[in-house]
Amino acid sequence: MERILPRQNKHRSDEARWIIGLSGAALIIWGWKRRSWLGFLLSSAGVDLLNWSCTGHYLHETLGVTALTSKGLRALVPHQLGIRVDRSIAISRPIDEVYQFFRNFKNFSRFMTHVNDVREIDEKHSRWFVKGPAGVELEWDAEIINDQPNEMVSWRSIGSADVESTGSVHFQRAPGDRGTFVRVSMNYLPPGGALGAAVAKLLGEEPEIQIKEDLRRLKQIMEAGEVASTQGQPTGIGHTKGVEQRTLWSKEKAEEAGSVPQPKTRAAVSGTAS
Amino acid sequence: MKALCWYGSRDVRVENVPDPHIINPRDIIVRVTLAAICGSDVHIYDGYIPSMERGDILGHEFMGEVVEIGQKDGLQVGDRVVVPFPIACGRCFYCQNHLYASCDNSNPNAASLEALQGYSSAGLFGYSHLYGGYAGGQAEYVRVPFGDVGPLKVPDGMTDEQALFLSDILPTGYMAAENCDIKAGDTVAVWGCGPVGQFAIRSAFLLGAARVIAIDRFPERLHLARRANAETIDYEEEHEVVARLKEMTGGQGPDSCIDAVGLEAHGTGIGYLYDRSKQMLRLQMDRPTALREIIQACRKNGTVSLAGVYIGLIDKMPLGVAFGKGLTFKMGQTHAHRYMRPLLEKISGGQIDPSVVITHRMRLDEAPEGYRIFADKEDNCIKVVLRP
Repeated sequence: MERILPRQNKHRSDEARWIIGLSGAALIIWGWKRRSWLGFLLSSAGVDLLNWSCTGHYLHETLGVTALTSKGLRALVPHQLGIRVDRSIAISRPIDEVYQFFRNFKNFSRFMTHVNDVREIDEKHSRWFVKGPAGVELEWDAEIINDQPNEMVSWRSIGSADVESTGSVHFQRAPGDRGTFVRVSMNYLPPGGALGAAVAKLLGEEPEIQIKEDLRRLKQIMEAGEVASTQGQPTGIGHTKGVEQRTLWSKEKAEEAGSVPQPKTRAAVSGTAS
Repeated sequence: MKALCWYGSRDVRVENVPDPHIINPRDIIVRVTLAAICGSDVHIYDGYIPSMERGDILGHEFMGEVVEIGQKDGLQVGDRVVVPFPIACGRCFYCQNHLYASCDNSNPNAASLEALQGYSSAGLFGYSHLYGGYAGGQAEYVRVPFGDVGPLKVPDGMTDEQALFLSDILPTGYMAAENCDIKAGDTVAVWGCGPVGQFAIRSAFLLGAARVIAIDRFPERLHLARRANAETIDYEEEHEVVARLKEMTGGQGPDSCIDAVGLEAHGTGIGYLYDRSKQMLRLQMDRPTALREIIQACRKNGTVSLAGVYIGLIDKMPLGVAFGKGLTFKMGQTHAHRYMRPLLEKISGGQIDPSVVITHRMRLDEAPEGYRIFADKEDNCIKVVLRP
């Protein structure tokens, strides 16, 4: 993950940054010791100075207030702003099958656990409902800006999105008939800026990890036809494991949904021993 | 149903737990007719394995009768099957190349294992949450994922006791011997004569070894090795194992050496597992001794085959000696699936009888006592099987 805001004070000498940073630190300590409103103000000023010396940004910028105030004016994450995530995974299925699966919005909630729903508006537009940090539901509209079958799909959020994002998924034929490499690149402005991103990280809801696990589930669905799970299995503590008691799979549901076609496998019949 | 659950170090109990049910389409449910306690279960019992949770159901060596099938998959309700210990999807790159223990798609906790070790492996039955947290088979019923890949039908004429060890220790011993790339006239030395060592000895002969030399210190285990025509070294009597091996092989050393001892020190997350690691050092203090001896004893350009589990870091390995001799190292978790059918045929044909290692037959209710006897190597215990 890259920093939220690029350092803006590169042209200042290191000495100046150190002096200002140390003054900031001194102000924080001095203000803290006064334990009064004036002290609080002095400390706040100290925080701002220290922050500037480290990042070259004023405090409100670092906290993502810029992102919030300018919402709606921008359709894309500005250059060099936001968090970038890159992930790739190898899937042992033909490239057209992987592309087709990915191109169907209805499949998304099967492997993206934080996606509650994706509604197709038209061929190019969709509305996303996503679980945000601390149980908040976030939503936004997305537009496909480039779609090259079996090569890539790219999108951006449009309108006043809760999470502004832009990204692309590239599909590449793996060497030697070994399926497909799927590469996701994404830039986004988290709600609440850096602070929001830090909180999300603490809650274990970091998009980088989410994307990694989403891709792992995508691979499991494409290859194995199901996502590995132990939810609801017996244990010797209390009753069954997992708070949510739900059946993940039933014959009825499977017939309704129609699953990914899978080849029949019987492994135990193979053998190298003679 | 009744199941053997883990509650802490040296604390396992048979408890009443809910029956398992189908969770995923390719699952099947098996009514267990016979299960075994594995040497690696003892490390869970002794509290060395991280990421165990109170109430976890143990057991990765089991067989039984299919009672429920998710998606139609070729098996029938009522089929008698033996189940391999790694859980494998059968369709990822590794499974397609018959490297089932490296399956990409069977571990629900792959992310945690990756964070600790930098890679993830297949899920295993009843073997900690890093390896998927799957409920094991020392129970009346067990859910088996990917029922269309792992379980192998057992023919009518074969007893449960003959078929059971296809689940783990027989393929493990066989793969250890296969990894030795045995040529006619070869001498194979086997360190450790527990159940895996016993099967490695027998497999080495099956694969054409002229001589097998077995090393252990328990008389009953050495006796069982001699019954398979192995020559034996009791390392408590014979302090210079390397010198003795050289002397027995005209000064050359064995052509290949199998380590059926291992470290069994699972988990390398040094920060996270710091306390556990300190405990494990106690194991590291003596167990790499076998591996060092192997490197010293093996003949030039010989093969070293590791069947015992190693995970942690090892100090003072004579790598220079290994390089100088041009040794080949082969190792890894057993890809049990690929050996099951060929070995089943060997059992049917009378070439190998896996039931020879069984010394204790108990009911599932008696499993806690079985663990204690096996862990303390009391009563000449080599292998315990449990009938629910």
